Amino acid sequence: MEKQIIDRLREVVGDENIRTTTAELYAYSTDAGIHRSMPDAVLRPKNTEEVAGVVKLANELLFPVVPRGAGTALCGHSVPVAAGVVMDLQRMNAIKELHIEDLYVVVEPGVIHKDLNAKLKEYGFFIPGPSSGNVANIGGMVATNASGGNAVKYGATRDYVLGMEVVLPTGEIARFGSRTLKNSAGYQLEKLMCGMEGTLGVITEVNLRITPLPEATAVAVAVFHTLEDAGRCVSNIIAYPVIPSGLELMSRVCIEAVNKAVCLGLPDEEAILLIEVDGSSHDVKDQIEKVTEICKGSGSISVDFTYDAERKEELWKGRKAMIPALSKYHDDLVTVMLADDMAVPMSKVPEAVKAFQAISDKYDIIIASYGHSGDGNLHTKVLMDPTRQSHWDQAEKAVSEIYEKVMELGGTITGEHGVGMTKAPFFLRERESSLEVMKVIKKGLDPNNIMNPYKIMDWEENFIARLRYHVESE
Amino acid sequence: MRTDNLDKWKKELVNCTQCGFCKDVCPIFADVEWDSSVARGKMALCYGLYSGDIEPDESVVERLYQCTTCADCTRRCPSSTDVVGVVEAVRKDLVASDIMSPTHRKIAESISMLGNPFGEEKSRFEMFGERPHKAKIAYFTGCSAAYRNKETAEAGISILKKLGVDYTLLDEVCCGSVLGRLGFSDGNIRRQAEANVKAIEDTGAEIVLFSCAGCLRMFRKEYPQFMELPFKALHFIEWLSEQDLPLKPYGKRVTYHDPCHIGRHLGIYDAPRDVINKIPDIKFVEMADSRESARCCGGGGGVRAQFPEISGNIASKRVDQAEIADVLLTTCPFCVNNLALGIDESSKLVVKDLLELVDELLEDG
Repeated sequence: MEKQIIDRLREVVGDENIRTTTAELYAYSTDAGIHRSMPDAVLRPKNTEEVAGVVKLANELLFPVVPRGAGTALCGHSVPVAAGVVMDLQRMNAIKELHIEDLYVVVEPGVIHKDLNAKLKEYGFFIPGPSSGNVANIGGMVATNASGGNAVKYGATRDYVLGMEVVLPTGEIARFGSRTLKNSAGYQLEKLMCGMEGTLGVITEVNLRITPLPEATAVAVAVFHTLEDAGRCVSNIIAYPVIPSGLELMSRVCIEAVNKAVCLGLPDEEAILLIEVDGSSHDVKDQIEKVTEICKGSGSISVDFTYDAERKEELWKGRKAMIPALSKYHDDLVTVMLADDMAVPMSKVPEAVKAFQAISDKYDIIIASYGHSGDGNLHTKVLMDPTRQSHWDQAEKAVSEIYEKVMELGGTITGEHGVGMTKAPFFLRERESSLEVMKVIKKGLDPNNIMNPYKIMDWEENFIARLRYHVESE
Repeated sequence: MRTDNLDKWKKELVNCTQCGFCKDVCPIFADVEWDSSVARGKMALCYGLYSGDIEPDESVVERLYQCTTCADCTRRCPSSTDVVGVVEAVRKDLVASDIMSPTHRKIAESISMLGNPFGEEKSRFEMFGERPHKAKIAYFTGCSAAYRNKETAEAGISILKKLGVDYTLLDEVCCGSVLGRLGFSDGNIRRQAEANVKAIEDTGAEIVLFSCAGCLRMFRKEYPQFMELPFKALHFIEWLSEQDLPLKPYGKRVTYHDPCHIGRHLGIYDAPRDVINKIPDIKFVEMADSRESARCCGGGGGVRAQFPEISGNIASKRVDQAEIADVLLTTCPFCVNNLALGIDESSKLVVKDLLELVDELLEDG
């Protein structure tokens, strides 16, 4: 990037908030995924005007802008594949307005999910979010339509977005949506921005609906001899119907990994379900009885509910630690953020789980299966040495086969992480009929292709590409 | 740059998934805010150096020395990535390539020439007027309590006298903690270890007491890598927690800061609280983050010497948490010093080493 462009950017965000040093460029060349690509500069704007100033300049001088929140995205969303600037939005972290009586808040994109919920807790409210909520930023959650363990009952981030302010790719500041819980006014553009992954603009303010904290919660560990039984149990609970606030599936590999990493003492079996129910005390009691009965009828060896706050927190902590904990499973293998958050119709969960296990056996590699299975969201994780080409080759075959199966079952290759780069090749197949419309929208809003270019429907490489690891051929 | 030390940490380098959970706790990131400053940022930079993607230019070196080695990241990391191990390994590679700040070079020279990091020329005998002699218990004062927080060492000595203990001071040199944290070689640390262990052996002491968290950590975790220790190394507070202490009442509200190097690094959490609870009428309150999740004071890992402003800002955040009490107690002179930096002029909070409070309240004889 030419010096005069850097100088002009400096004028917009101030000298202290632009870096072109090796340390910053390298640190911002990756996110929590597997890819790496170096930016030309990293910026930290403080307000909408500065964001708009940068984007206008980018549109005029034609350099890419890649928005970034906490950098916890898992599929390379904030990796600057065509260089340009990474726009770190963590300084825009104000909770601007609280309207508890109207059930919404107005926040800047850099607000950390945990901080927002800490504030809302004072009023008895919360907003659901992903496992990375302790660090994830609201802007990133909206831009990826993130969700987590309680999505089965509370939905994804999109379901809480009422309106927003967005700096469009041409630099104009637009307002979408409303401050009302209901809104039937034309195209729901605020929803279009959910899942756009920074390709259609920069979210600079969000109006979010809030929801009351439940009066009581209880968590059960249900143990199964087979993954298939556990999967069937998930379908049986949902169809009963009981809608738990969390319904998590963990396979043997995950159980062992979590026990090893956080010493939870989970039962040594093929599969367990973590089941959380919430509501009024009466509702919770009623749900516990129903869920216990369903689990037993679905082949569960045991079902143990706990109201104990410490134990509940410990169990969820273990689940939240799942992905990185898998890195401790094998002395020579670590987990890598390879495509992993498929969703299938709930009734297909048992078939999907069984198929994943067969693929794991076929390629003789360790694949951990787990997920927020209450909403059909299943994860797989390959344990591998990311510095060895043969491991990538095996992983590629296995993951591709898993995706094929998911699509065959009528599912989606991403339930909560987004597309980025890692999912793009399969996304192109899954959403073939939507691609033209998406491209028209992108072209219409971003004629010069400056906003996070070459992502989602515009990624043309394999999903194992631009790796952040140095891979040795064998 | 050669990365002989870093090469041994390959598994940890790829073990870090870059998930970013450490952003929640890293004290440096809370102040610096750029993503290169958080633990995973440093892991990324270390991977870059290991793989040859980047060179150790000024920006990279600066970040790699912006780590207090508090290890809160490892506690928070779901896969327990040993970030401190990796950071100290890369610092060894930097030092081996003669890449170090003038401040750190001066510290190492002072330790080599004078036996302490502060450039102090007086010996321990000149500081305390006591020569080493045969005794069952030895008190290793450490450099900070000898030259910067003399009141802590004096409190330790006074306590031993009041309790009628057969003790001795030592002809000690710097324990080498600062050398290890800054990346100086094992050879440098071994020299300090050999000198100190010999000094202790000469007294025949069976138990050695420490008032500095960094010194104790060296004797418990690093010295045993070089040699067997023919004595037991205890924090003064651990030892006090096992003693009968005739203490006067203390009507104030106190809280306790867990020093990282005896807390997360050595797992000593109960002993100081046990000692505090021996004090009649004391009102003990825990800070929001305590024990395993205690926030760092900001002083360690060479950060205080090279980045005093960052150190002070981190201390201020910790001190803010302690405003629930009249007195902030801790058990490390380095923490006392750094926390004191963080106290606002308008605050009435007093920072004190727990040894000093015990001495103040301990009945004589």
